[in-house]
Amino acid sequence: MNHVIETIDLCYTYPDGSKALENVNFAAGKGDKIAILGPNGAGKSTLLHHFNGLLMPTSGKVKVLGLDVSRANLDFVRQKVGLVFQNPDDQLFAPTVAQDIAFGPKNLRLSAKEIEERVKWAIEVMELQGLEHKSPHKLSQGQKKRVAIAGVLAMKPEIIALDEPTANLDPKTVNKILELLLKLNRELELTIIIATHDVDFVPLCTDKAYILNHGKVVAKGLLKEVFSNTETLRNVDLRLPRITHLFEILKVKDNLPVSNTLPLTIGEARREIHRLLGRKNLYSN
Amino acid sequence: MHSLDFDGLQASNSPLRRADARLKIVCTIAVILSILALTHWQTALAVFAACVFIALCCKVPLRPYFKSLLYPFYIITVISIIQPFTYGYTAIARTPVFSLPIFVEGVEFGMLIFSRCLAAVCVLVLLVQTTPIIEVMGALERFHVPSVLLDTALLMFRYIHVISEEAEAIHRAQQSRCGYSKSVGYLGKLRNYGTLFGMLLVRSYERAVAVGNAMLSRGYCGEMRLFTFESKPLPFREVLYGIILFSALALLLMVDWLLMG
Amino acid sequence: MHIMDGILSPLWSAIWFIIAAPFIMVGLARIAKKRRENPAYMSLLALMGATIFIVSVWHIPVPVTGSCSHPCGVALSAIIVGPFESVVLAFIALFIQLFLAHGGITALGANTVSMGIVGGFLGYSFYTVLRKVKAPLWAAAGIAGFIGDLMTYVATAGQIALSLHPEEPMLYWGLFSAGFLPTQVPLAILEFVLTATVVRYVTITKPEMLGGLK
Repeated sequence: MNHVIETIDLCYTYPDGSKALENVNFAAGKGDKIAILGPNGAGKSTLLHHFNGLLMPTSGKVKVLGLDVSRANLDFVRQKVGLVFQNPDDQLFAPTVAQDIAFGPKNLRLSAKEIEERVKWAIEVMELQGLEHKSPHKLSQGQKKRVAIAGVLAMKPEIIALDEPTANLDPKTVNKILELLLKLNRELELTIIIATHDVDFVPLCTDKAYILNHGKVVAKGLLKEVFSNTETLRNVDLRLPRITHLFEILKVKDNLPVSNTLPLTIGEARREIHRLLGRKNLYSN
Repeated sequence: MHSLDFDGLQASNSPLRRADARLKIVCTIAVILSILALTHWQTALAVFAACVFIALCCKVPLRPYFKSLLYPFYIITVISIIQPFTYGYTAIARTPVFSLPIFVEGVEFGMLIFSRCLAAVCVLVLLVQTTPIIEVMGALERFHVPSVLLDTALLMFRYIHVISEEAEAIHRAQQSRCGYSKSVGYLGKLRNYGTLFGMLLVRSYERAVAVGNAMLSRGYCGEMRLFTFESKPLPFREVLYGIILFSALALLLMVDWLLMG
Repeated sequence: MHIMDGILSPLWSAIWFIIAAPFIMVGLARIAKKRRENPAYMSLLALMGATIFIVSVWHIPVPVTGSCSHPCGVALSAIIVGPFESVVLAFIALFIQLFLAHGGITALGANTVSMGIVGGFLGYSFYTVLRKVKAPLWAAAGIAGFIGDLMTYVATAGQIALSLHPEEPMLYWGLFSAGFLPTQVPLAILEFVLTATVVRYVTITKPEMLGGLK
């Protein structure tokens, strides 16, 4: 029982009869960084909504910290699992940044002092100082995203699930958010679950992945394993990360002696190039 | 759509901007009610002059005021112009064309309405220019306005900007495919506006479902206030200003009443 | 075109507030009840309100007067969220418009009555009656829009007449109505087309919207 989130044969059928999820078995341990990869309409968001009790399974079970998610423990589940929505405009509805961040803690019925402390803490963690009294519509998309994450963090969740966290953001903001998420994962042992189709982003911030297609898990495991199965990836309308793709071409078409586990990130690629060139100790800096 | 510029009116460096919103609201309403009770256009014009004077002293630009007068100008004009020909009993002249009588009382009454509007709009614009809507809502909370009303209003205000941007995006998309060019015809244009608003409603509905989910996922259960504001005590100096203003209003009403005699 | 401060006497400002109050209270009670049943209703109401607000401040060219004008949107609002809830939305919209320097504080009650209550309820009742007698949807919605818009202005004219000329309100009601007519009739026709198209569009693409909110 060391899973913080677990789904057992989770099925979900929409009221109109279309099947969104079929027999999904998902598990995340404490401090894990997990990607849920899949094309548009694969059921990623639907799965995330189950983690937070926004949707209830048609059949099967969702467990959060060992507890079956039910109507009775929704408050507990929603505090433990923070959900960051794809469009920050859907999430930021308060007139000012500080009020929006206070929204979750206030629903937890915390004392005014505690709420204030948490808001301050979340603002510091997400580096939003100076924006406290701005209204959300005046922020940039990147700032809005950070406020959305801060609003979830203020509830002190143990798991944070992000829906397409890189959508509509510029590269610098993506890096910023990545950096902040990794810091939270390191320092607070926060479990991070990311639903995305941004395959270049996934290797940077996660080490395990589930691939979802038409509501079914078609592959799961460590990133290395999942990305070594290029066939499956392409069948579900995804692709390899750019850098991995380059090495695949070098290996398959140009017959270079690239190792079997293809590099997924620029760092790994650099190491591989040095290895190919016969240099050994150069990548220390 | 440039009419939605809530901050364009704001005079952020005015000392009035820092004053407590509760006091400003009470004073504004009191001044406007006093203006409504005036019976002489001279006193109404005096209030107008006082407002302009205050605006100048407090570094509130008057440009937005004159701009905002344009909008109700039509309604004031219709009302004021009808008066001289219909109201009163002392005819001083007749129009050359239809030989309508022009009454002294009507002329004076028209001028009274006109100057009262001038003064009242000026006072309101002063408030609006120096108090952001959020602060006003915070003050209304102190006045025990029901939370359902305030929550709805704040939530609505928040999304006005988002939806307005969306509307403009749809509008541009329609324009870029000639949705509003001459060849479409007026009825066609109106239909395209209808489609635009229909799309907007449907999208807002979908967004509302997402927003609702985001609220639920942070533990909202519909019982509590969505938003609350911090409250600060009213500084003594501002209370004093308020008392001075109220005394001035009393004096004004007295002068107006004496003029009648 | 709303009444601004300076026209209505203090007495009449108060009277219109008193008339508007029960409608707003009923609206608020209904909203509070639906919020208890489904907390997410708040987001639905607010977003529909915000959208109708945007529609009502959108500049649309009116050929006859050669200028731009705003549609009213009260009938549309009443059809989508229900007439009482619509009064609350109209009241809030008028309040927000103060910050664009439109309308007036003391005239808030009067404008709520003319727009939300007279325009909204009349428009809505025409819509329901026409739908009962199996009139086509576009016609029912269009006529509701037309009536809602026109009646709002007739009511406004009546309010001004009552306050300024309590001795002969009927005469001045007629005079003011006639004065506003040249700009209002084209606007009401515009509202007919708009409401008809919007309601038709919504029923085709998202039929649950018209039933689900009430």
